Amino acid sequence: MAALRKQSTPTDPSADAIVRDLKTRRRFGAAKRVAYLLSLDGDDPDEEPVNIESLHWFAELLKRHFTLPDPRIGVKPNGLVQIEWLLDPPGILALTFLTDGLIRIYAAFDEPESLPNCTPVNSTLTPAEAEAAMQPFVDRLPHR
Amino acid sequence: MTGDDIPDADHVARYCSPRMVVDGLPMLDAFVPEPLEAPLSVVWVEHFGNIATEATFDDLRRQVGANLRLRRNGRFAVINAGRARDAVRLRPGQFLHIRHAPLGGFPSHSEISGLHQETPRLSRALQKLVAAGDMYFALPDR
Repeated sequence: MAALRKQSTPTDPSADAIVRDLKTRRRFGAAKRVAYLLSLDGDDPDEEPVNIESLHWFAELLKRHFTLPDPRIGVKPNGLVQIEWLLDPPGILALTFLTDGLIRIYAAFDEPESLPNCTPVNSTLTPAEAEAAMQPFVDRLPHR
Repeated sequence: MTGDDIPDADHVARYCSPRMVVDGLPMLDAFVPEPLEAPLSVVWVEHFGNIATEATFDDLRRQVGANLRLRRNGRFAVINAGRARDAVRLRPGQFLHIRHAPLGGFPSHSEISGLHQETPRLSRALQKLVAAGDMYFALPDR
C-alpha cells in the first residue's frame, strides 16, 4: 500500500489544491461541495476535520472516471470522505475512502432480484478491485 | 417508558450533521452507527407532543441542542417506528429494536439497535424511508 501512496500522492496535497484540481476538471459541483465540507471543519468538537488523504483518494477516483456524474459527497465523523450514487432502479453505490488508499464499498439494488447480474458488494478493496466491483452498478448511472 | 419499545405509530428523529446531508436528504452513513455494534442514537418525537405541531419540534430542538452541537444546515430525519421495523422484516430473523433509552438531561433519547445484523443493508433500508418532507431543520431560524 505504501507503493500505491507513493505513485499517486500529488505534489501539492493540500485541500485547496484538490478543490482547484476538481474545478480544472470541470467538476464544479463536486468542488463546491468539497469546499463547503472543508468550511465546516472545526465547527463541531465531536467531528474530525476532513481527512486530506481520504479526500485525495476520492479525487483520484473521480479523475480516473471523468464520465461519471458527480456523486453525493459527505464526510463521516472520523473525517473520512464518503460518496454515494443513488441508482435506478433504486439502490445505492457507496464508497468510503480510507487513508491508506483502500476503498470500503457497498453497492446493492434495493430489490436485487430485479438485476440478477449485479451481485451486492460489501467489502474493503484496493482501488482497482473496487472499480471492478462497482462497474456493473456504474453501468446503471447516467454519464456526463 | 424507560427501556420500552417506541410504539409503531410514533416517530424517531435522527440528527444528521450537515456533512451527511446532500440536497436536503441524508446520506447512507447518517444511519450507520459508530462503532457498528453500537445502537444508533435517535430522539423520540412524541415525547414532546404531537408530531404535527411546530411546538413539538421547538422543544425537541431545545433538548437535543442542550446535548449535541446542532449546526445550521443540519437536519433531523424523522422515521416512523413501525415502518422502520417493517423495512427490515423482509428477511427471516432480522429485526430492529427501537427503544426509549433516556440519558441524564436527555429524557427523549432513544436507540435503534440491530443494524449490525446486516450493515449497511439495514442502514440503507432506513435511508430509503426518509423523504424530503421528513427532514426538519436542526435550527429553527432556517
